[in-house]
Amino acid sequence: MDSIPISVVEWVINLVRAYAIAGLIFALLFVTFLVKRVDSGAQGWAIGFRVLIIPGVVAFWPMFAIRLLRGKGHPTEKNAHRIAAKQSTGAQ
Amino acid sequence: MGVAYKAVQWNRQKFVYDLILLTTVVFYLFFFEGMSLQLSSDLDIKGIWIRAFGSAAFILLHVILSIGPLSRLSPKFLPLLYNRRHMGVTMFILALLHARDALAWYHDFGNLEPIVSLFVSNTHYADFIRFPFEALGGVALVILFLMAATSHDFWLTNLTAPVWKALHMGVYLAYGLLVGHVVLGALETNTHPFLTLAVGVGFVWIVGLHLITALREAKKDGAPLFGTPAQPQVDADGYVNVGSVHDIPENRAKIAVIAGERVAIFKYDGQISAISNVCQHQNGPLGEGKIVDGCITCPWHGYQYLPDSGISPPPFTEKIPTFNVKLQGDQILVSATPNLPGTPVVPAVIGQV
Repeated sequence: MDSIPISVVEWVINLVRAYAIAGLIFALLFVTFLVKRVDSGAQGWAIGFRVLIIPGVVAFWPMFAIRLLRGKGHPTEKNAHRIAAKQSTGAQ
Repeated sequence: MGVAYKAVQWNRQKFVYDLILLTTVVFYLFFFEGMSLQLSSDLDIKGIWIRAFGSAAFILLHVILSIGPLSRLSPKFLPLLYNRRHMGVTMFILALLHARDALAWYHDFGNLEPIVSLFVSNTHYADFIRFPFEALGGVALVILFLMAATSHDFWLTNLTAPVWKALHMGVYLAYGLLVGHVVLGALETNTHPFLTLAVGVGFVWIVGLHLITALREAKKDGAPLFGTPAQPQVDADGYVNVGSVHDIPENRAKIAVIAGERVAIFKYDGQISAISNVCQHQNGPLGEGKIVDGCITCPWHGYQYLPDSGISPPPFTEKIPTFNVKLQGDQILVSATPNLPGTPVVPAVIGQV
């Protein structure tokens, strides 16, 4: 079998693994200590909820890392009405 | 949200929904095993379960994709929509079991890692008929994982509903990939016409149902299916005439497109109020809901808003944009410019000019 495709696939899979391992470490810290900083809905311990969000945090951990570094909470959605309302009042 | 997250906000409907769902899936899996052994006794049991998991996931995906348009066509299907996320997670688990077993069955015998073998054992990526269908299934599984992993309400809040919905629209890409996975995989090796017919009927059903629903929705908005919709006529005071108060049943709404999005104009207690049609939870169509206990109630998951302020009753904290309204005779005039989310608006009183 051609070794180049094997090397490429192995390299990509190792990259995904590294991302996932970093994500898992971050996710464990995030769900244990940090989730309240970005979302006030994470009240109390609620073990089931915290375990349930781990796979998603592993996938999207850079988003939460940036949010925590910037000290920001979760965003508010944008749609045509919200944007139009904001523009009409000149609100930032 | 305003209230603490839980793993699942269990209630009777969800419990019954999940019970029916899991019972049906388990019944199907064992029925598939029994029928396969009945039809051909020389089949390996592991091979049968790979097909059982795969076909169960594929059938469930058809059900999931049908629920959205069916709910648009008739409110009778709304109970199916209520807990669709659990159906999606169940489908992902079935697909994962199919992938796990297939990987062990077909790719765990060489000197390569099974996952590496999956992508390099067939490299005919430029050939349609010999295209590596396993890769299509692998990519679809990644999409389904992202959807299952972000199915909790925490993700709606943290990604925002429009981004969450865009991510979950990936289910259509996953469906396309899985049709390719089945056509180039199972259908190429299976000579019985039933499977080909079933996949064909399923595809026509999904595409047809979505087209019919899209045409109906475009007709409702008075907009073409493709291209730019017509802009509403705005009067000199910045108001849009949306029709008569008599067009709206009590505690229900009329929907009109203003400021680039649908607006829900509710009639209740002899008054008219208008709010954005877009529920903050999952962007459900508020105008297709009704007023329950004095609150506009989303038909999808029951999120509530006060009609004259667009604010959810405590302890919830959602807010949606409101619109100024006035009456000219029996004609309802709605401001063409929305107010900031949660802005109180004096309702127009019917019979008072």
